[in-house]
Amino acid sequence: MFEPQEPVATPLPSRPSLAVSSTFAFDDTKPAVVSATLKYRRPKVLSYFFEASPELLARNSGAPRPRKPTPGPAPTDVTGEPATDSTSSGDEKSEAPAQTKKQHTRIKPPGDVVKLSDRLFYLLQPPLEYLLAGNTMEFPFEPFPYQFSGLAFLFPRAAAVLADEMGLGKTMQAISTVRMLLRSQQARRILLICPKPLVTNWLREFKTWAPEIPVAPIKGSQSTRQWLWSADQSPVKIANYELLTRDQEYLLSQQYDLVILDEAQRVKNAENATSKVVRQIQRRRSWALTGTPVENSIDDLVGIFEFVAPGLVTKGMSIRQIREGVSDHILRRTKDIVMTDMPPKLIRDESLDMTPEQAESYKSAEDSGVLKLNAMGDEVNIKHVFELVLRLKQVCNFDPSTGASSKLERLAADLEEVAASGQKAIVFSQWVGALDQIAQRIQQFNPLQFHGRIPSNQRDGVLAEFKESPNRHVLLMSYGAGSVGLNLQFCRYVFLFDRWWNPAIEDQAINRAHRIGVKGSVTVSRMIMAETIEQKIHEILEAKRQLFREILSDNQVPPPLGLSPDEIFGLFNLRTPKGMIKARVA
Amino acid sequence: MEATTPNSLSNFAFLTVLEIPQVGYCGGMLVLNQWGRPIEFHCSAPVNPTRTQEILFGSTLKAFLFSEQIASALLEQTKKRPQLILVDQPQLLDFHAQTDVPLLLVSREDHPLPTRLWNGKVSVPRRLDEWQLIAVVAPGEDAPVLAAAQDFSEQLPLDEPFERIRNAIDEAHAVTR
Repeated sequence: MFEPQEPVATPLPSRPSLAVSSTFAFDDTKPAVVSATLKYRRPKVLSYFFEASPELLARNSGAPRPRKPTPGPAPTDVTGEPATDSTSSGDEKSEAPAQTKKQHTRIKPPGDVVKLSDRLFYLLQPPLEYLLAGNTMEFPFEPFPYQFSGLAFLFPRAAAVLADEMGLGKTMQAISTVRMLLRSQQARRILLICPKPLVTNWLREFKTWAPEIPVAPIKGSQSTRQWLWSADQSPVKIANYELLTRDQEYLLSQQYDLVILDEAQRVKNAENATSKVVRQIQRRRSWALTGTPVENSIDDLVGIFEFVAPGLVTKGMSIRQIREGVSDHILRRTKDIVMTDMPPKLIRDESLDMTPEQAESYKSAEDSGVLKLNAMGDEVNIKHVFELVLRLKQVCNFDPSTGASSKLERLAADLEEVAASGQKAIVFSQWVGALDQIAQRIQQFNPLQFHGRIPSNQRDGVLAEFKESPNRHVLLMSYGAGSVGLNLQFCRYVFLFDRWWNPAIEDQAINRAHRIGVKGSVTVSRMIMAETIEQKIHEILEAKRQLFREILSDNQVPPPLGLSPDEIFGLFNLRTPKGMIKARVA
Repeated sequence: MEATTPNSLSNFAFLTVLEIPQVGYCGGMLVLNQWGRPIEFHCSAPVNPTRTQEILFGSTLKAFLFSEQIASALLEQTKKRPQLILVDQPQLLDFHAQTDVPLLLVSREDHPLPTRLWNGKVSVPRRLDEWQLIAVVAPGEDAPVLAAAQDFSEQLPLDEPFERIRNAIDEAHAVTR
C-alpha cells in the first residue's frame, strides 16, 4: 500500500544581493567612438591674368567732355526731326528721343577665337557703353544702341561683313571701331578702299568721328602715290578701287593689320582684276561694308567672302551651308528693326568728288564767270550771279561735254541697293534736262518721270504705275512738279540730285514721301559736290540753321532760311576797285 | 592674414557662386581696377557636397561650401590682393571669418544682418540708390568701403560685374565639358 509521506522542503536557490558594493573598480578603456571624417580638398582653380586689359581703351586724363545729347542735329544716322525741318551740317544727321534705359552691349568672342583665355578676355570686359564712357573715347554725338552692337560685332573679328541697310551708319561704326583698335594697339596700319567719288566723304567722316586719327588719301602722281603707299605717318590710308591695279606693285609690298572694303559688292566677281588684287593684300583682318551683300545671287556673297575669309564658303555650296558658314561673320540690320522708336526720317549728306572732266569744266566756268562778273563792276546784279551759280551747279551734275557725273555713279550704286531690297525711290532735280540724262543712264531700274513736260492727263497714270508696278523702282521728279496732295508715302528713299535755294522747297519735296501715316522710315540723300558752289551754299544754310538753334532753342524747328542777296554775292567774293560788290536788288 | 585698411581702394574683387545643375557649385572671382577693367579672373572647379557634409552641416552647408571651400580657394590664387570683395549672395558674408579683406554684400533685396560675426568684425547696413549694402568690416572701416562702393557705382552698376562672372563661368564650363 502507498503511504503518503510528509513533504520535504526543497531549498530555493539564493537570490543575488540587491545591494551594490560600495567599491567599484573602473578601468582606463575609453568609450568606443565612431568617427565621420569630414575630409574635403580645396577645389582646383583656373586663373587668368589680363595684364593688357587696363590699357584697352585707356582713359585719357582730364575731365570728360560731356557728349551732346542724342536729340539735336548730329552727323549720325537717324533723324528725329519733324517733317518740315531739314537738319544741319554733317554727313549723316540724326535726332532721336533721349534714351532712358542704358543698354549693356557686351563684346562677345567670335567663333574663330578658340583659346579660352582669349574668349574670357572679351567676355570679362565692361559693356561697351561703359568701356567708351567718359573721356575714354569721345563721340561727337551719342551712338545709338544698334551702333554700339555694331562696334561690339566688329571689334573682336578678324573677318567681318557689316551689311546694314543704307543710312544706318556703316561708316560711323567702321570708323569708331578703327579708333578702338588703334587705341588698344590691336592695329597700327589700316587700309580703307572705297569707290573714288567717296574718298572725300570718308575723309569728312573721319574728321567728324575720329579727328585725332591722321588719315592719308592715296592720290597724286605715280611717284607721290608710291611714296604715300610706303609712308608710315598716318595709321589709316584711303585708296580707291580704280588705283589698285595700277599701284599693285606698291600695294602688295605692304602689310596691313586691317583692310576695309567699302561698297564691297565691287569684288563680288572674284575673277575681275580688282578682286584679284584685293585678295592678295597682306592683312590680318578683313572687313567688308556693303548694303547689298547679295545683289543678284548667292555667288555675290561668296565673292565677297573670298576676300573676307578665303575658303570659308565656296561656289557650289548649298544656301544652308553658306548661311551656316557666314552666320558668325555677317551682321545686317534694317531700319525697320532698329528704328522702331525713332521718328522715321533719316537725312544723309553725300559729299562727292567731281570726275576729272567735271573738275576741269567747273574750274574753267568758274574762272571765266567770275572774271566776267568782276568786269561788270557796279552793273552786276543778282540775276547775273544767279546765272553763274546755275551754270556751275549744272556742271556739278554733269560735265557739259562728256556727260561724266560722279553724282550719277553714286546714285546708280545707291539705287542698286534700293532695287535689291524691293523698295522705291524718288530722285529730285531742278532741271528736267538733268532728269532726262539720269533716265537714259539708269534704264535698268525702269525709271518713270514726273515733271512739267509730262502731259497732265498722263500724270496720274505715271503715279499709279510707279506705285503698283514692282518693276518700277525710281521716279524722277522736278521740284516744281506735283501738288500738295501728291502722296508717295510708299517711297522709302529720296535723293536730292541737286539742291534748291530754299530749304522749304526741299522739305516740301521730301514730305511727298515722308508724311503722316508713312509706314517705316524715309532715307533722304542730299548730293553735294565737295569744294564747289554746292558746298558753299550748303555751309551757309547750315550755319544759319545752327545759329538759330544755338541762340533760340535746341528743340525748335528753325524757319526755312534761304540765302540773302549779300550771301549770294558773297559766294564769289566779287570785287571792284571800289571794294566788295554789295548786293543791289535788281 | 594681415588686416587691410582700405584707404584709397583701387582693386575690387567681385565674388559669386553659381549652382550648375548636375554639375555642382562653381565659384568665380573677378578682380577689377577702379575703372572696372578686368585684371584677374579665377574660376573654381565644380564642388559637390558629400552626403556626410549634407547631414552634418545641415542648413549651414551652403555657407560652408561657398566660404570655406570655394571663396578661400579663389582668394588664395589672386596675385594682386583685392582691397574689397563684393558679393551678391548673403551666404558669402560668412567668408569674413576666413579673410581680413572687407566684404560688401550688394543686393536689390533686403537681407537680414549676419547674426554671428567673428574676429571682432561688425556689420554695417546702408542704402545706395536701389542697392541694399551690408558691409562686414573691422570696426571703423566701413566709411572708406562704402565710399569706394559709391565711387565705383558712378562708373558701373554695382551688380554688372557679377553678370560678367556668370557669363565667364558658363563659357569656361562649356569649354571643359
